[in-house]
Amino acid sequence: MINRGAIKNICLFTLIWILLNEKLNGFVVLSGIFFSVISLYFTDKVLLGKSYSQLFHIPFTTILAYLIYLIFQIFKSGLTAIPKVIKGDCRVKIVDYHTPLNSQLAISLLANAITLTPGTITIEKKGNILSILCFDDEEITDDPELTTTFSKYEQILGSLKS
Amino acid sequence: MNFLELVLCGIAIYTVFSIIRVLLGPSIWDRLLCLNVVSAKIIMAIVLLSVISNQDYLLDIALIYAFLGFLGTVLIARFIEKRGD
Amino acid sequence: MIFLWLGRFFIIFSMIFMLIGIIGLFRFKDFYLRILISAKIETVGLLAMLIGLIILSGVSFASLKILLIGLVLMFTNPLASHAIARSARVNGYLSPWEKIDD
Repeated sequence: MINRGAIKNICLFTLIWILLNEKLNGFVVLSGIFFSVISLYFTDKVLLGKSYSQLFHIPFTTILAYLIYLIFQIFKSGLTAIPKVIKGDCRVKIVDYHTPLNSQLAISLLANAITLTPGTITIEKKGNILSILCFDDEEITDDPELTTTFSKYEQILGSLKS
Repeated sequence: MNFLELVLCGIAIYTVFSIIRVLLGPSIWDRLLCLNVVSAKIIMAIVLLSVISNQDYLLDIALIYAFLGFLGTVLIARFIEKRGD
Repeated sequence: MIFLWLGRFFIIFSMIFMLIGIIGLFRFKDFYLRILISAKIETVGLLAMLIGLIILSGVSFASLKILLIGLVLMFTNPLASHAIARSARVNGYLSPWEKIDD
């Protein structure tokens, strides 16, 4: 039951507990470790039935690269969406995008990133086919060669195993 | 008048216009979308108020409001998707 | 001094973005265009505002807590807009131009 992933998760939860308390002393650290162990044990036994630490295992460098690229990308496509508001009239379409990722967690993170950028929204996810709502004049097709933005996310998230 | 207080007044004006859009929207999904925008504005106003008046406990309220606004939006969207079943 | 002006730059940037989002909410007649552009531009403004406030308040517990609020919003806001778009699509809410085509 006690492995490296669980210890990492307990450290992370204790850090968030210290952040919420806004002070750092012995009592806060001890109670943080106590509540982290209790909540992790409760999640494993009652809510999931499996090991949380193995199911949602994301390396720290992967999530950092993902967040930095995501923030850069949403500011960039926010700036390109301004002329569309000034122009005032566009059409939308729905395309199916076939992703080569095979881990469910990685596909969910990709759908999250697609929805957060202005101009594209994921409507439905079936297996590894995503239905994406986008503008009519953008070139998002089934062919993965054309969509360089998505393939950068897939390159970042490709190290996750299912 | 401070710079941040001026920004807070601007956010209040934006919130009023978003609420007018909530009242105008023809279908329930339009109202839900604009309600999401209003909730984002309220979170922003609470964080700004906390930075202006230098009181940290307001940030906890903003965090809880973020979770509750998300939960309410998703619940109503899922509820009307199944038509109340 | 440079941090003060960098934070103010981010806050003014976010106010301009939110103004454009509000204009878009009133200007577009189509629900799907509104959810594609306006609501998302609002999210960009929200994140820019939080980054500016983090820079203005310096290194403290308060700025770390604002960072936590930003992370929570980055993972919950897409879920909310996905739920709204999917609910409208499943119930067959059409755009005005789709009604003309049929």
